[in-house]
Amino acid sequence: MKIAHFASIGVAALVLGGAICPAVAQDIPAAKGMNDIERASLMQTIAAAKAEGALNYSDTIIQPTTNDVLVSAFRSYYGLANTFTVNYTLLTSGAMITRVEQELSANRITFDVAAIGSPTWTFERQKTGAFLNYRSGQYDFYQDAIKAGLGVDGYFVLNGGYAQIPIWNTEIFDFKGKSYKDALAAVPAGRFSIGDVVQSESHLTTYAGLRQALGVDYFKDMARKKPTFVGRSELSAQRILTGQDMMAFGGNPSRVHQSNQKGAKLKIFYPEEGFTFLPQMTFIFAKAPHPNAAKLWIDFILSETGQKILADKEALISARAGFQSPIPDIAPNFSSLKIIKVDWEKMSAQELIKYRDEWVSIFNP
Amino acid sequence: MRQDAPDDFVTIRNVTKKFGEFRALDGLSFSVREGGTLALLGPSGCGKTTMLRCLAGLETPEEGFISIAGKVVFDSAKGINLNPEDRGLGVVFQSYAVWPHMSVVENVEFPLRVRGVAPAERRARAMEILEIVGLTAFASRSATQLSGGQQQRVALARALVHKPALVLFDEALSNLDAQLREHMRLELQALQDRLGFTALYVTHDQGEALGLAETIILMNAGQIEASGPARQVFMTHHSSFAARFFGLNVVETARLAAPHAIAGKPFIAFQREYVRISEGVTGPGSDDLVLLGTIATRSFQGLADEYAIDLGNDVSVRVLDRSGAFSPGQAVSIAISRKDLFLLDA
Amino acid sequence: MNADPHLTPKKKRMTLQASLPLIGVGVGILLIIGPFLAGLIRSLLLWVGNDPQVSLANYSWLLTDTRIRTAALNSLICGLGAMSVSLVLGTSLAWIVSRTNVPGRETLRTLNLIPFFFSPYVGAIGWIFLIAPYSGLMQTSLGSLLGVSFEGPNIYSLAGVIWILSLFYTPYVYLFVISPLQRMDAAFEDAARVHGASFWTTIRLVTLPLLQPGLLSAALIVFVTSAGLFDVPLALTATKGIRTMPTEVFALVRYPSDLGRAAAFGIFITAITIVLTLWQRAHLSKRRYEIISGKGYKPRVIELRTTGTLIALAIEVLYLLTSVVLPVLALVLVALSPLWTGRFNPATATLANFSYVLFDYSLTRQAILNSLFLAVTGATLGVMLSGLQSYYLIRVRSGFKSFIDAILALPLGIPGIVLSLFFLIFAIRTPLYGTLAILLIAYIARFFPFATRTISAMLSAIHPELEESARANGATWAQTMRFVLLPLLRPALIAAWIMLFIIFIRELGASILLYASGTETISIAMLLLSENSVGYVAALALIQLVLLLTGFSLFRLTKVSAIQ
Repeated sequence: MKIAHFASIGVAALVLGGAICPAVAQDIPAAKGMNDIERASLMQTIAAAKAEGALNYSDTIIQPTTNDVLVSAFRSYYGLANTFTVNYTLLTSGAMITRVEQELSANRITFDVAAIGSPTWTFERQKTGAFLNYRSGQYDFYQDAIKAGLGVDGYFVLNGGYAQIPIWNTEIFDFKGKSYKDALAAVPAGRFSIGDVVQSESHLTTYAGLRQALGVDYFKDMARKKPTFVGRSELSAQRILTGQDMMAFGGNPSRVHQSNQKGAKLKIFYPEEGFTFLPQMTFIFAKAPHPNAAKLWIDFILSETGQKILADKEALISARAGFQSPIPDIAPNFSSLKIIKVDWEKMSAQELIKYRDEWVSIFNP
Repeated sequence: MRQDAPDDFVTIRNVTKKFGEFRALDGLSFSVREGGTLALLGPSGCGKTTMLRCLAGLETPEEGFISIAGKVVFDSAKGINLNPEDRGLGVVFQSYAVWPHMSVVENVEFPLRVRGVAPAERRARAMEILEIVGLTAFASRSATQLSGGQQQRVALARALVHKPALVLFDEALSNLDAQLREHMRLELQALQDRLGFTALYVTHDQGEALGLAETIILMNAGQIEASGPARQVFMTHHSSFAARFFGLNVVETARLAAPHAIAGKPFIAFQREYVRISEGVTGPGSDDLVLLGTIATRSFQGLADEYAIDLGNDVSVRVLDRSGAFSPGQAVSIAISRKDLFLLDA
Repeated sequence: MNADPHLTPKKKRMTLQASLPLIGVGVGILLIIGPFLAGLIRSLLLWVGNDPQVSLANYSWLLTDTRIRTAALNSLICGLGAMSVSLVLGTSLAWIVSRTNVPGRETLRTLNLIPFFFSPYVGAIGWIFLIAPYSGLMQTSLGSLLGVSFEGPNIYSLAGVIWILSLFYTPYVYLFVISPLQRMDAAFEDAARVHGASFWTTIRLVTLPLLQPGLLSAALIVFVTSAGLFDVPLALTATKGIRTMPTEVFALVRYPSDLGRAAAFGIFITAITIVLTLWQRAHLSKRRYEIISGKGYKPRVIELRTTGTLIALAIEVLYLLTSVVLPVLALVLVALSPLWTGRFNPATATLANFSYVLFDYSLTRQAILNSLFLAVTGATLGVMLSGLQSYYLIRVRSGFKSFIDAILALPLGIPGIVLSLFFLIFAIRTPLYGTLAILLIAYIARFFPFATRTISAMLSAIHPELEESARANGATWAQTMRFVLLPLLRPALIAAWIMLFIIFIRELGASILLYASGTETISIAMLLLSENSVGYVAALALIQLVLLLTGFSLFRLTKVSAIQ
């Protein structure tokens, strides 16, 4: 009780301070180019976030080392002290949905913000009111993406996207093909992995897309060559690195990027047939324990600063208008990609289960 | 010992204890005078240990009344049942129950410790009692390093240190060898003279009971078979059970070839020592019971030979004789004086 | 002379003696029945729209679904396979160190126990690094020696699971048979030999039948634990689409989840466990015999000739190499590598993975703290609970004892993931959900029988007169407990505490469904880190092993057998 009381005095003091001394606010990068009204409202949110003291977010891609970079950039973006803690949980999409579903039904949301590569689920949950309505100023830069079915204005939008596409180790496997067909023809039987649709929500999503472009027979051929099923992108990359597999069809660009920075020579390619683009939908939970901190995080992660870190460290493809990729080989510019068109908003969980059952019947009868 | 003390220092009335359907104690009543010694004697399973455990509060009888030193510790009618610790007793257990995780002196001062006696005082009193039992030198030893006899003394010292009015001994001397037992017996008597506690012994050994107790209760199947001063119980027998327990020959009268003058009583009993053997068929002395039989076995016992003599009709008796004159297969007659013969109703 | 009047003992509540052990038993039964009922009720409900309806649909699905049948069959294979291998291996090892004059058998006796304290999950990870097809350390080092690339044995198979489980469950069998082997009266075997039986015939007709009660208990515990273990199949066979019962339960709980079906499956597995436990009890109570005459005979020690010594040593060395040395070595090499490529490069060796896991990554730091908290608190509460239960089972007179004993032993056979599923269903709408408390409760519920068995065994060896004499000499029940029974029981209490500590430090199956952000444990962190870098996983696994080995060394000091 007492602490809360002092905290609210502190908030009031900070709000006053923010309003009276605009000079302080000008030091904050986040306030760059803002008018006085915007700045005052931002300072109010920052003060409230400071009172909340922490932010819990979860993501299915971001590595803890990247998180460290993001957190320190986040703090300096808003002038937050080190005492403001950001708790980060890295989960697979399936695990995160399972957790969030349990937390929602227990009415005990522990996360403020999440980013997840499962657009079907995100659209469904937005309709049931699970997310906070917050129209960040950054949404202005994502209108094209929203029009393309990759977000709902004021509720969620992608903080980046990636693909689960073939990767290989150039030190072990010599591959020059350009398409999914070439890749399947080149790889020796039993020496490749594919994404495990049963274990992983994002691999299921990928399959739902690819299935439309490649047809069932392609996957039946694939099944005959005895793939290994891997749910985790790190594990598929690991198997490529050690030479256990020649190719990982569900490879992850950020793993390639990170392994190559440590001296590996992995390669990735965006096949001619197109590929399933997995948007990392990010949103604030309606019952987030720290809503103000969450708003700051969304503003930050969608900003040029946040997007640059995500592209640089995680090889995420930014859909922000006018964004130039720092690593175009691995994460090309959004506008240059051949993406298989899938209407995520219309696709239901029931439909996804059908795709999963189909995958199981093809690969694991 | 105060012979004038009231006879009901410890009173047990109508105590019944059942284990399932089995009546371990069947309406038992007796009393002990202050400063007296009483032995509950009987074969295993007769209920003597159960009686001791009921006295100590370790078992709860279904029925009955127990008072110790004027304090009612159990009364089924009034619903009184004091916890063991509230009965103020000393107990020496058959296994001694000397705690292996404590030193000798810690064991002994335990009763004082749980009664809140200050450390210095309880140590002094424990040392005092250890001196009486002759274990001063072992005070700081671990209890597990002691011999059986020494552990027994620790248990004894522990049972006496808080000066209880009544001390219970469960087969206290049974685990000791013959020499040590005799030594301990004398020591116990001396201790009791000096400290004046009332003692209740539980034992299956008649020698132990006779040597330790002035009063003996012979128990059988949860009931009292015989009771009274030690000598009287040993010398007079009223039942075949008591006679057998004390090692007498017990013979069913109906099985004897010549019923003689003993007809009318179903059993006779006599000591092995009070039988005379003679060769062949000799005429009886005026007052003797004479029986005919055949020597079955002979075993040398040191001072005498023990013969098993077959009297026919599945009756066999044991007889001690010093002459060494008889051998298996020989036909003999045996004679018992009337005065050495017990005529029993049951 | 009268008793000192001021020395009458203080009055204490007499209810304590009666109520405390009953509370222990009551809590234990609640911990089992509560979640079981939650699971049972959930399994009978089917949601139609927003309305739950009572239905047997989940069970009819269970009986008709072919995937469940495959999973059950695979678990049966794992259970039977691991049981057979560990019975042979465990009995052989116990026999070698207790009945032969093999050199160094005192040391070997202790070393054979180390795998008991290892985590099978960590062992599986170590073995993947060792012999993963084409890329394991064995393949790469042999390959570069011979200049070829080859596949090697397939660790991602049921055989691989059986291999790992056998390595780590062999000590269970070993512990169950070594004590009877050491104390068995040599006269039993001598009698067979002098009446004309050969050495092997004696083993077959006399020694093994005499060991039968221990072997049967060990076989059952290895079978149910192997069939119910979640983490090893997760690490080895999940990538090949090979289902087992516990991984299938896990899959059913995940999105799009079906808790009803998962619950029905869990109830089904629990029912099997109950049947097996009852059968074992009935069987053991029928044939109970004393193989120790108490006359102080020493068992016959076989003088091995050179060949025999070599064979015995070879078995020992191979076992210790495969269960401990090789997997740990692999983990060390991986943990020291900045990027694992199947080969170790000493030039690039670094401690970066360790420093990241220990100092830089908040999740692992939190996880280590959480695991330590759970292990210390859980072991303490568990030992208190088990102590009270043991007191009830050994000291209190009651007609329901064998029934209560059977109920309290049930969690031994229920897979951790099934119990945690029940707890999830039980707790999901309560404030317990997502807290360390629910993990703590699930841990205790799953593992207290281990502590109860250890403590009961020692308690039954303590003569009741030791406590009775305290009572008779004036101590209250509470004083008797404090001054007499607890000090006497101390070795068993410490042993039970350490055992629970070790189990809780490595526990994964019971945590996987119940953890939330902030309540991750070491094993959960390992699983999460596997999405990150195998180097981190290896480093954290080694840190966990250090904690477990510390527990093991402490355990050796107590000199109490782990299984009674």
